Amino acid sequence: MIDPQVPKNSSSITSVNKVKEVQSRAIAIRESILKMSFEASTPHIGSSLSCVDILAACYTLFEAEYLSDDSIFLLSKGHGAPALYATLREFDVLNDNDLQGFGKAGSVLEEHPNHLIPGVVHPSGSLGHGLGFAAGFVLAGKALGAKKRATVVLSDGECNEGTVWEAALFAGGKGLAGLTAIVDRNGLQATGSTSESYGQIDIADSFESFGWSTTTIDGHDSAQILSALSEARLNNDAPVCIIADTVKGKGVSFMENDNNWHYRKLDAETFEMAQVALADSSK
Amino acid sequence: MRNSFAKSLHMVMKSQPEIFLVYGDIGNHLFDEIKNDFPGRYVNAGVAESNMVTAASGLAHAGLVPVCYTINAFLYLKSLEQIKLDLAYPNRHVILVGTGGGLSYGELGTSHHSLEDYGVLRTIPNLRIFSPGDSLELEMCFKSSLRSVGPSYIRIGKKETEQIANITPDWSEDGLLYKYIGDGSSKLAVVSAGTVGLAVRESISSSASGLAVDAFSAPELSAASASFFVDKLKEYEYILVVEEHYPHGGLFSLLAEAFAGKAKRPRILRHGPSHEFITGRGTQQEIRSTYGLSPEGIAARIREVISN
Repeated sequence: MIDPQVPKNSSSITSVNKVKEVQSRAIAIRESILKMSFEASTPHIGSSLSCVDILAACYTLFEAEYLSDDSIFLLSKGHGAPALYATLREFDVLNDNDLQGFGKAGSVLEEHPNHLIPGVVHPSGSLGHGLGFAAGFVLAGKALGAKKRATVVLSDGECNEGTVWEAALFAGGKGLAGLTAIVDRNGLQATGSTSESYGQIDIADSFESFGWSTTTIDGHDSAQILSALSEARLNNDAPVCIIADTVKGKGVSFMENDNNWHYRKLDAETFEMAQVALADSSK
Repeated sequence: MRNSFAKSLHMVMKSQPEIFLVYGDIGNHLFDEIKNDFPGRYVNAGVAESNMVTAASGLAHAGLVPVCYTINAFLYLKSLEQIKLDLAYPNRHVILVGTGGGLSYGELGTSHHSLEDYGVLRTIPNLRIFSPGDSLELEMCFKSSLRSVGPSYIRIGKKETEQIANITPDWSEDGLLYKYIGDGSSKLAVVSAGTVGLAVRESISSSASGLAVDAFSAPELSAASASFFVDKLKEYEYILVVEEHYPHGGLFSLLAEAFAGKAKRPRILRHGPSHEFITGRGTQQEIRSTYGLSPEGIAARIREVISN
């Protein structure tokens, strides 16, 4: 296990424990993703693996808050559903029985999240909706006299969608502090690299030009993620965008940066290989 | 009608603190009273209709009842996926109000025409669809949408007009469809949705020879309306649908679908715009005339149907 860096603004013992917690939960979540995806024979494994550490950190910090009326978590990159379901299982919002139903007839656990699933507040699957929904939710706080918070995970490919930028303009323009967007920047989208699709775009610059505060981190360094999330909390003036540099397929060496694993499904052989690779990377 | 809408909205905002106005950079001075009396209960979403609808879903999830307002044509087309996925699927209580429905903005060109809204939106589950013909119907539709659990879409006109009917319908009974002319003895029911109803009423009441027809206004075109319409209209021999909507998917289609397969089926006919884009034909009144949607044109069509 990597030695955790000590994040700023927190006592070192608590922080070290939190980092270890995130790391250990992330391993469990990755194991779960592989198992679910093999048993249901579903795609989007690479995309699910790249955001695991982010989700683990969010729920480690805010799981109780997400159960309240005042704070929501959204996986706007809905094709990463296995990561969300595995995280919800890890934090006891879903159980093993629920996960067994993933991708099967009769289960609400579809390949993209829907609002009927415990712990999921809004359906996703069509990219570009989560940020606007979260912005509306946070905006409501002012009228309701209650601070509303939202954490939304987007993908960098998702930033092709115009509605992401409509939402970003809206949130920045209205000064929606309490809104935290995390861009899972793994550099790949369905058919190739993000730069092939839309050129070299500086996501941080773009968000900042719309009135957001941004920070760029290593999306697999739990200490950095926790630190960035905690600092975002302190911003009372503007929404915050955390750009998290990640690796598609992270945790399974032969999947990392291989975009075939956007669509490719696991068979018995590759499932076993993946489990071995994950165990190796978790040491 | 937009002034009536602003008035109705102001009135309900007084008694219902959760109502929240979202407008898409439109309504010059229309909402001045609301802004003055209810600071903090409105937001200008800018010229970004897709985000407006998605953000409204988030506002609703937080516990507010958003009322979204912009020009009709932009409301449902730019935001159709948002209406489907962010409002209808999770069944959020959001009310969409589109001003300038039909050909209200005739002279502004095709970009501002909304002749396909009923058809497009009737296919979306969970969405109630209203098209009030005057300010009285608007008040009924708006209150009904506020009582709903899920989302509603309301097409309104632009200018203020007279009432279609001289009576106030019993909305509890007649909410979806009400008769304002005739005693039920005619073989022909003329049924309209929306503001074109005034032209229908004028065509019948001002006709020198007197047209012995029953006339109905249908302010709601939701999917749930179908069986209600069948019940009220099944005894007629003919139904003439007058609508400011393309031939496909509107009130004509709704009635045809409702009666399809029934043993007792009135002959359902339609009077409205042809299936084409309209360029350079002037104001709403002028364009309506070219499709026979003026009082004279409607009277002529009614006479034609009666004489057959």
